[in-house]
Amino acid sequence: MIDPGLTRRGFLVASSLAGGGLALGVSLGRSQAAPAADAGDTAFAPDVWIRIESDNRISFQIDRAEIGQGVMTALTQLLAEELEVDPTSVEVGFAPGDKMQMVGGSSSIRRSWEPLRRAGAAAREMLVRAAAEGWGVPEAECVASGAQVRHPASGRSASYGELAARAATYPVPEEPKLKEPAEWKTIGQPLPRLDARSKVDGSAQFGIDVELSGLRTAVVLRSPVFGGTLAGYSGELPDDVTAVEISSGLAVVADGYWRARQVADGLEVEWDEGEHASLSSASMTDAFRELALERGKSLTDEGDAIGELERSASSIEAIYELPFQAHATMEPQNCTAWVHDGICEIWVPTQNLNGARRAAAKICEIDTERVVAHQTMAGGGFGRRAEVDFVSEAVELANKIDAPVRVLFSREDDIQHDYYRPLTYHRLRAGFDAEGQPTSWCHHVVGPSLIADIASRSAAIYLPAWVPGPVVRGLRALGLSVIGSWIADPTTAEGARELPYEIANVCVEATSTGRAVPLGFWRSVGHSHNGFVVEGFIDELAAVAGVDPFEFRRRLLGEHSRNRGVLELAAERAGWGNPLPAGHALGIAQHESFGSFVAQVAEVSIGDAQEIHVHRVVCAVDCGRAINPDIVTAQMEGAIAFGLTAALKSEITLERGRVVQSNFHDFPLLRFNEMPEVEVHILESGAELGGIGEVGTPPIASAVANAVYAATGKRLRKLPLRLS
Amino acid sequence: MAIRLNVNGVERSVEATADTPLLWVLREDLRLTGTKFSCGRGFCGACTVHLDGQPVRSCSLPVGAAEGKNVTTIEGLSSDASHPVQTAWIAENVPQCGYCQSGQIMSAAALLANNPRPSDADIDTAMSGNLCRCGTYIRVRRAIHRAADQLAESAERGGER
Ligand code: FES
Ligand code: FES
Repeated sequence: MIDPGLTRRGFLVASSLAGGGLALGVSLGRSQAAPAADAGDTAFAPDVWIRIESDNRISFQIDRAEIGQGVMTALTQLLAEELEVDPTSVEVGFAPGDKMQMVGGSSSIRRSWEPLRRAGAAAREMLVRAAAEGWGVPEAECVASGAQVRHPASGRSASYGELAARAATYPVPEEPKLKEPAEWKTIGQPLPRLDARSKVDGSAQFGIDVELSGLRTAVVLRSPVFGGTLAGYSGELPDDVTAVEISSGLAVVADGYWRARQVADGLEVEWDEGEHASLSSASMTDAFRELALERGKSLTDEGDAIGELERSASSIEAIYELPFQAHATMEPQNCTAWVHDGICEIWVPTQNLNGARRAAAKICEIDTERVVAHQTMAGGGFGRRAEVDFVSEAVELANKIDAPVRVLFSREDDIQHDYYRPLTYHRLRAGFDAEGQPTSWCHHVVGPSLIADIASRSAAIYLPAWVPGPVVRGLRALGLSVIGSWIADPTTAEGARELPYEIANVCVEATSTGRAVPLGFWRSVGHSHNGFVVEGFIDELAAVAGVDPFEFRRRLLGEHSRNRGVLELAAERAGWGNPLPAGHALGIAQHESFGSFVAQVAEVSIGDAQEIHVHRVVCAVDCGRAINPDIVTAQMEGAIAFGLTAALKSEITLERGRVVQSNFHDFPLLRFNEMPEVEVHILESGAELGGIGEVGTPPIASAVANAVYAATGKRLRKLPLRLS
Repeated sequence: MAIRLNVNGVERSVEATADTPLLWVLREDLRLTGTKFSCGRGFCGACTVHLDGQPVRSCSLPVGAAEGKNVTTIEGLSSDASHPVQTAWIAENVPQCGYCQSGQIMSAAALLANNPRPSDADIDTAMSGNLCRCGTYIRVRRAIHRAADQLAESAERGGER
């Protein structure tokens, strides 16, 4: 049907469709996360296709996963704006994943902003040209809107569908003219989400909902200790159930989940627990405490922070600690795979469709082209679905049994076999002059290296096994070694290494240790811990200086900085300094991540049992401009709820090499009745587009902790926050 | 054994052991996949359906306990997403990933059926067992109030007629 290569102009390619339609392929350019293996591949391969059929149906395949962040809607708005069609009339689907289809780093809109609008504009110009030439009138006299081209002078009009065949014969305009912001009709508008309907009537197809004839369902029993392996199993296996050994453990396969789970629960399974059987959060923290006293790898070194600290009139020191965190997407991890006719087909809710395809290809020993991947709706992502462990399990199984098979995690599997936000330990020191002004800032982050962990799972990157741990004896016994001396993990200190506050002497150091626990990207990654730490410690500095914490930050932020812009907006809208109900107090925090700036003011009170109530959060965000302000607002609300779970409720702890928590009773999420009022104010700075999906999470824990300090005088430096 | 239940107004008979959770019968035997699995232990509400009009966690309800009763799932709430709770949900742009929303909607619909003018405190009580990792709670509350307004309006109109 499609014959790409008819025309080729930069990032766009046009072709005709059977039945007289126009197809436009759009390349969004190489994402930074593109694998090295593809580096030599310069052939044009569109990421998304736009189709205009002769019956005037307009469809659009997006290359991003819809994990709840509203990307389907916002991307359609970009295209529809320039194409001059009603965004709600566009049929949107998922591209099958030929290139890097990774959703992370809040990059979806930023990466598509230019190319998609250009594609829409190019198609529009081709359609206008088709109309003008057909009517023998100048293009300039024709107007495109509402999926048709009109010639007002003669009153003639034609639908895009009628013009598509002719338009498809033209070369793609190299420099299509984009609309001025003042002409926008849908960009910047709170268009209702296009996926809302299917999500209120139960028809949205998530990974868990995929149906195939003859589908089998597998539950996988995995070693409770990370790195352990299956030693053996015994127990009754009924005729309708099979047990298959796979790399990650024992798969129990039946005709449905419940049957598989019941039989699996009845098996006796033995594990060879491996080298991490004594690992615990407590022992890791002990090791990190000692490491924090040493010097780490220098990431920022302005002035002479350590020297100044020693010379200063007074100084303070504080330790901040954050535990491991699980993603706990509401849809448990799953993947359906079917190996047949020389291909491998997968159906998967993923943030990394191409990683999934490569993993499948490797297991089946076939070319990636022979892996047909179907992206489904995803019941949450938050970074968890950038991993492909569930894909590997399903494909490995499908390769061994002659039927399509779904691997489905239980909630317990999901909590205990996640790729966690790393546990981190932070030592902070600051020095002051005689007037109480800060003169130096030292921050040492210690934690296992997320990047080293991810690299160790990727064959594409070479990494030495263990670098000797020179600093702390016994570290090795934990299965940890210091690698900070040769790898500077950019995620460990992100959000810490560039201090926005004007302090003359700054040193930021990191010590990264090796892995023992699977680690992964967790909504806002390193910013999620450093936002808490930096904004907590700056609040401590304000207290030492005896200055109001908002005013203290404001003075130390550059006059025109975007940090200061959101800080002032949040404080103003929250009524900072105004009287509050008895027992209530405010805390403030701001943080930049993924090119966006967010400030939050939290209003808290303390209950009789010393529990922390968060009543209200006022949030100011500067993401450059908001494509869809309602989606921006929803993402802030969601990111605050996500951050509050980590701030107030949950942690993952390790004992005897195992995750202690298992389900929502001991890994509780923020509940309906605990959700504060949230007020979001968008600051339209017009600056370069920033991310949106993650940026609301980093400041919230600190805003709450700072409010608790204002209410009680107690400084909480450890998550989850506990007063007793 | 064969178990008979009425699902969304249709008499069904399924082959299952009586202790199989209703959730898996709905999803895997009757292919009504709008009802979701998330925790499997009654903690999260993703699997909420109505049993004779009352909200229940289908992951923790043996199908035997539903024998002879009326089960309503999200698919049976309306045929065209026109139930006032569903239209309010769309109007308030509630769903993000959407995975928890069938359960949220079924809890909200049961609340409004029993209490057409719920206070915020009533809503807290009815909805606090429905978890949402995407954090849509604020909009869920707004949508329930909107649906209540809508119900009151149509009741008034009905009264005039
Ligand atoms: S799946 Fe039933 S309550 Fe969570
Ligand atoms: S909308 Fe994603 S879990 Fe509720």
